[in-house]
Amino acid sequence: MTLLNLRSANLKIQITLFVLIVFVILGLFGAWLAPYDPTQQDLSQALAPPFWHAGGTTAHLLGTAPLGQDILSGIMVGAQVSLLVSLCAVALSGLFGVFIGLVAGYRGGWVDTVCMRVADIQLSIPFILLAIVMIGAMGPKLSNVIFVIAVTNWVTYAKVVRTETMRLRERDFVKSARVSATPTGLILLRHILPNVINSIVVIATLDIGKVIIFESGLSFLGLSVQPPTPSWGAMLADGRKYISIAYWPSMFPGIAIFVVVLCFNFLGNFLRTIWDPQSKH
Amino acid sequence: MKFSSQNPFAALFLICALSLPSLSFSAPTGKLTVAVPSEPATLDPHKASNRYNYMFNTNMFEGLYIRNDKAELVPALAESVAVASDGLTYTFKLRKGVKFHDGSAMTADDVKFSIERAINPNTKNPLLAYIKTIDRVDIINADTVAMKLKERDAIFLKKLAFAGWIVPKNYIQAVGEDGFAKKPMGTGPFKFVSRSINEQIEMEANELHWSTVPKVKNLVIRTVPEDAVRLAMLQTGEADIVAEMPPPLVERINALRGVKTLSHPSGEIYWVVFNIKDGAKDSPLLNPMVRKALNHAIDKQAIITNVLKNQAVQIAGALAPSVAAVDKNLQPYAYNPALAKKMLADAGYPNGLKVDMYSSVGRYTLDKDISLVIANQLKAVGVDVNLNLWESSKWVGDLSKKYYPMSYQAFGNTVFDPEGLMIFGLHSKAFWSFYKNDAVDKMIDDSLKISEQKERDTHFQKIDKMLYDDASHIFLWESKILIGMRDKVTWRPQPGDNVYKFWNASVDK
Amino acid sequence: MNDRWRYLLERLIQAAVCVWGVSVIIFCITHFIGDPVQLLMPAEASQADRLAYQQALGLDKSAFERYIIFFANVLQGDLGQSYRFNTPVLALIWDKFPATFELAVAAIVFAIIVGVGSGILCAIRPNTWWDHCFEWLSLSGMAAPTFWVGIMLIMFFSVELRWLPTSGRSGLASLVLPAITLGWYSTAVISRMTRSTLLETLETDFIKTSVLKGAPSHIIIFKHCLKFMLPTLLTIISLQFVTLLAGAVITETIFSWPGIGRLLIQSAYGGDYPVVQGITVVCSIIFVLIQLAVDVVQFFLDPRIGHRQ
Repeated sequence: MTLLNLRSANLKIQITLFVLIVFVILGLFGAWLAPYDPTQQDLSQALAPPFWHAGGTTAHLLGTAPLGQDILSGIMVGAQVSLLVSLCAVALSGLFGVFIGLVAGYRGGWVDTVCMRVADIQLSIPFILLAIVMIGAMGPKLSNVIFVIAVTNWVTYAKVVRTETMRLRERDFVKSARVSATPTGLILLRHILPNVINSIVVIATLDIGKVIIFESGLSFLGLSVQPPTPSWGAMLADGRKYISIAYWPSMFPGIAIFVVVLCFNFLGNFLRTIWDPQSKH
Repeated sequence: MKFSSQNPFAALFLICALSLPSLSFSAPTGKLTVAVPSEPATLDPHKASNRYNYMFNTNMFEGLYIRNDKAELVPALAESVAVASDGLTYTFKLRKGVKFHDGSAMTADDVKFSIERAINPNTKNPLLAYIKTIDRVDIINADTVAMKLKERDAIFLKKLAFAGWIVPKNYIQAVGEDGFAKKPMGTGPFKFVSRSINEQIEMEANELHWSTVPKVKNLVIRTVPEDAVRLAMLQTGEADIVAEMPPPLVERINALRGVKTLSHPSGEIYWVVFNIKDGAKDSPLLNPMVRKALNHAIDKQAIITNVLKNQAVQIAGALAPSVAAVDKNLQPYAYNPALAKKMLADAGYPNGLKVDMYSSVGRYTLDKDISLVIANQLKAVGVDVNLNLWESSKWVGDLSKKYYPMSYQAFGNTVFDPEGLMIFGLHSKAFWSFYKNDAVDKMIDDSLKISEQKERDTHFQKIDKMLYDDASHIFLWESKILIGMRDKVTWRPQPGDNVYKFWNASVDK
Repeated sequence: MNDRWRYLLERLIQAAVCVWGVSVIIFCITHFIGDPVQLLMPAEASQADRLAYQQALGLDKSAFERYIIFFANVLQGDLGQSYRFNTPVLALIWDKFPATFELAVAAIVFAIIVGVGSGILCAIRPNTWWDHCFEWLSLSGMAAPTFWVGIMLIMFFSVELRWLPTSGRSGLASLVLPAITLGWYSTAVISRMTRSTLLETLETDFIKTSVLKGAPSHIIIFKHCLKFMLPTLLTIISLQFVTLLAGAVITETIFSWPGIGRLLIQSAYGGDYPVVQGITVVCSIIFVLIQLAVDVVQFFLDPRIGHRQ
């Protein structure tokens, strides 16, 4: 890489990491750091614009929502939902998907067939429908949203890990381990998993962004956490009614989602370039 | 005749001759596009279940009596009616010269067929409840049909105007039920052209109509669920009229060039419903003092001003001014949080109480926001509300299965008479009622026997006062519907419901 | 040869089992969607009326009984009658499917042209500002929620510029915004994948030899590289196409596009079980067939991939 690229790459990664660290801090401590309780209503200040517009005050830097709730506070506290949903859902679906992928790829035969067909069944049921049904049956709680996304998201991991496992299975070091009667679990853990972990991490990083967007889509359809719990997706979805008279209830949460997801994507891309020598130039 | 300027008769003749064309029938022109959030389910008028069905029905079909575009009850397919002294037999004199959209004549056979079809259990008519008092329909002669009721019904004609649509017997028997639902046909001012589910319904002026040929030639009703998109369509001119706009947009719509806003009472009353029927014996909500306190705790006017942007009118009790004669002397429960706290303490809850509330999201205008504000205001007087906000269909589905101690609801107008609300929304036997008060039940039962209008008015006002004194609900308001309309359109919605009639609408070039 | 036909047969049977599995699952879970009786009856209907309606819809029978009836009907090609519209479900799907198909095809065509095109451009000029620019764009493309993009596009191109209609399906102009909204995400994914796959392919010995031999660059890219990339690209594109069909729900809602996605979500919220079941079964058949086709094409191209122990 040329010097210019190295420096610009460094700068990009530094900004990305900075943003993501802020995101995590907000996700963990947002409730303490926010200037207001995001659920606090103030009808006299309903839909006040951000402070740089006429009619805005510095009391509400980014303006207020239809019932007077502070938008900045909503964004700070709403980070928690995005953080929790994305990390937990990705972790759960990743764990499950990797497990299935390892087993299916290594065993082959009918185990593999069954797993892949189950994956097909999973994929052919529209995610939206599954979400509507599950959330409808179990209620729009955070844990249910995580569960729904995890249940539908594992397939990518399974398929990628399966392909890699099948490739690695034929490698000498694995074959020799088999010959020496090492238990299957150990083979999977010590020989195969370390070699697939890089791809998994890259996928997972990119997935976090995807899941945050998924959650906002579910909020759009009214299927995610309900008020008063603030979430970026819900703020975005609620604000769209008012777009023609007030852009700020939707715009700022939308920017928050955009920036965070973009950074996760950069990070994932960056990891891919440093770990996968073939795509480096 | 000499055409000299001196001859007055000649001049008169000339004037008459020249003005003749403008006295002649002017053909309908232009296209009116209306955008609404949802659409009818099936197009069969005897299977109608949502208000967009009613809107379609009112333009396509007619009954013996109908509501005109000023919401007045007027004879349509019947010229007149004679009610027997026992109140059980209604003899209708049918209008002559009425044609269905295909040109065939409407006969007494069609009337008998239609009513029998509407009350037949096999038809699965969701509105059967309105006309199940009809026992039989007899054809007296080619112009006269008699309906015999099982019991007296003071507002039978109002109900007939709501649910008694006349459909063509021969056509339905020829094309079958499915065929009729696909290509419906009636006698109304508009006739059916096409329908694309989830997209639009297209109708055309019926030039064979017995009295009112619409001024517009084409009527297109488009289904556009997104509020922002409906507004965009109004701005670009893709839609001429957009209905049910969110109240916060009223100033924005007014500010647009070439567009004006219309706002009319919806006939729909809003209240917070206490489930008194199924409540546990020791539930605080069974105590009228508690309910009164909660009424005092809500600043209804603040909600109307700030959240609904004045697209609602506060009401004292359960009656909507556009539907019933409301007692002007009845003052709404005043907003008084201190009094509310005191009343709660007197009732035995000095430290407030906890209560669960269930509201829908998206079923009623700004239901989520308003429920949040109500919960907030109750919190200020010590009532800790656990607010559950459920997606509309789940909320409706569980309404009858789950116990909702408190819920934010509305009750709409169908027959322009308080009886609708009383029978279907307040009587303890009603499916959609959660209130139980034997005295009120008796009053409602008695009201069915009163036919004289003034007496009915007073009677319903008495019931309203009883509800008010018992604080049966947290009484809120009657809402208004916000409509955006392009200046080139001339049209007025009627007050009291959103079953819009478009036959007097016109579009300038 | 026998091997290949056997593989095909195996996959067909698996596909059928898969669809059957979907039908069972969807039948079970539609029960949780909502109660059609309560959703379709107005407030005035009495308890007795509701029970009668429930019987008329056949919902008073046991789940097992209803499934048998449903399955038997499906085998005869009858997907039931919509509770709301009183029309046969199959006719409804047949009526609305072209709209979604049109939208999905337009979106995938947009995604392929722009995605593959930009991916190639980036790969042949790696690490230039051009490449970085597209990297930003495609990563941004994956960072914006669909419905947000849709509404922004409407506000800008329809209301401000008046170039395109706001909603509805009325000819080619009305297809542009929805297709871009729907295809946005896939474009970004395809672009990234094309770039990385092409970069990998350019490193292979075969290509390097071609370069040394002095073959013109456009032949190298379009003839040789694309041939190597085809299996991977095909998998990605097919997966994206299916994602599009599913993701069309939000786009169709925003643009009031009268397709299957919108019908599905309406029916789910409206308690119209037969439509929900019907659409899911049809979609799963389509999905399974697409998967099958991709697998078979890959298998015939390179038998090693499908080899089972």
